[in-house]
Amino acid sequence: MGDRGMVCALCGAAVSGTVRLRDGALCHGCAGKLRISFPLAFTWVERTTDAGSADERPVWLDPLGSLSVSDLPAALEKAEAERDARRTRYGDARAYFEVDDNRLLAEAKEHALFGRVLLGEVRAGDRLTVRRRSGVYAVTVRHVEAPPGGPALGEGCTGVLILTEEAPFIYPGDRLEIE
Amino acid sequence: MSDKRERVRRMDMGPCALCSRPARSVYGGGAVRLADGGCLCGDCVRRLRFLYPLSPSCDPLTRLDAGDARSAMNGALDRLEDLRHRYGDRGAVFRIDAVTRERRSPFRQTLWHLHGIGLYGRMEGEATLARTGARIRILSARVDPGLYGQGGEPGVPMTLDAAEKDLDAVPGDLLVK
Repeated sequence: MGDRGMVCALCGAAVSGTVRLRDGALCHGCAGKLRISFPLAFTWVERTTDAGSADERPVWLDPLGSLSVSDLPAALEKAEAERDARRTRYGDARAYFEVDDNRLLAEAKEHALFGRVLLGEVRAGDRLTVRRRSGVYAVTVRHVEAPPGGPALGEGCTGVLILTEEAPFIYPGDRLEIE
Repeated sequence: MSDKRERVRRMDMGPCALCSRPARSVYGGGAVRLADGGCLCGDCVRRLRFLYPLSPSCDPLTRLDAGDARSAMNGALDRLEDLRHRYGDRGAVFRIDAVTRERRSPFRQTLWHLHGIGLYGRMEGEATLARTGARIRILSARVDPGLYGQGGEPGVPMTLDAAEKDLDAVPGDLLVK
């Protein structure tokens, strides 16, 4: 069944290519408000048919798919509480990004940071800072790659930030700030 | 008709004991089974591996339980800062344990194989031999057979390949970024 004719269960806007609930749908904007508590998770699945054929493929698991429309008010409250808790824990920067991996792109001499947005959102052009004992280091985001696409990597989302310079001083586990 | 029915099986080991994300060991996921039956996802393993280096005989992370892993994670960034301080705030340090050279045709530079282990930070791209100051371009990194990890990662024994005319590297030298 396609998404044609569906409306967002929170804002009422007509939507397509939506985030599906058990009995409705959300637009990407409203789903983004909940992602801090219901982040997408990546894994692989094996599909086997009765005929015996099997294939393996990567999938994104969406916990929002297990919610129904009646769960949304509680889900919004949960997301808001999580946002407040993180604001208290991390601070008042505009956004925070936690690094899972830092890889050098072979030919380009650019670094790609894999990780997730803990709070706020990250866009191309943002300056990221990391505090080390030896000082504060800053890098600039040239490009943001995120499922399902778009100009910004939103709260709770996992994605890749391509930097404009080398950044060997950033390590998995670092929490980067965006002022 | 019945051929259309399909069963879907997730290929991960369950939720990571530290971050709750699916822990995958397949397709480079890098997950590890803990001593208490839980697991760590590849992203959390990557944060801890420099503290618990792999050896051909064992993976010390598999001896931890979830509580040990959580305390290790809480102290990991402090331990990383300690190492950075010890090595002059270098971005990455790789200890060379063995050096072999591979002569090629007269028209191509000698290929050097630097076997060792990263102490912290990812060793890739250009690096410097700490003792001599020589600049080295790392062409590739190969994890030792039978071990798992990604090229250049700290805590994983591997061989770095570099093409240089001369390279005055000996076991015990450090490669730094």
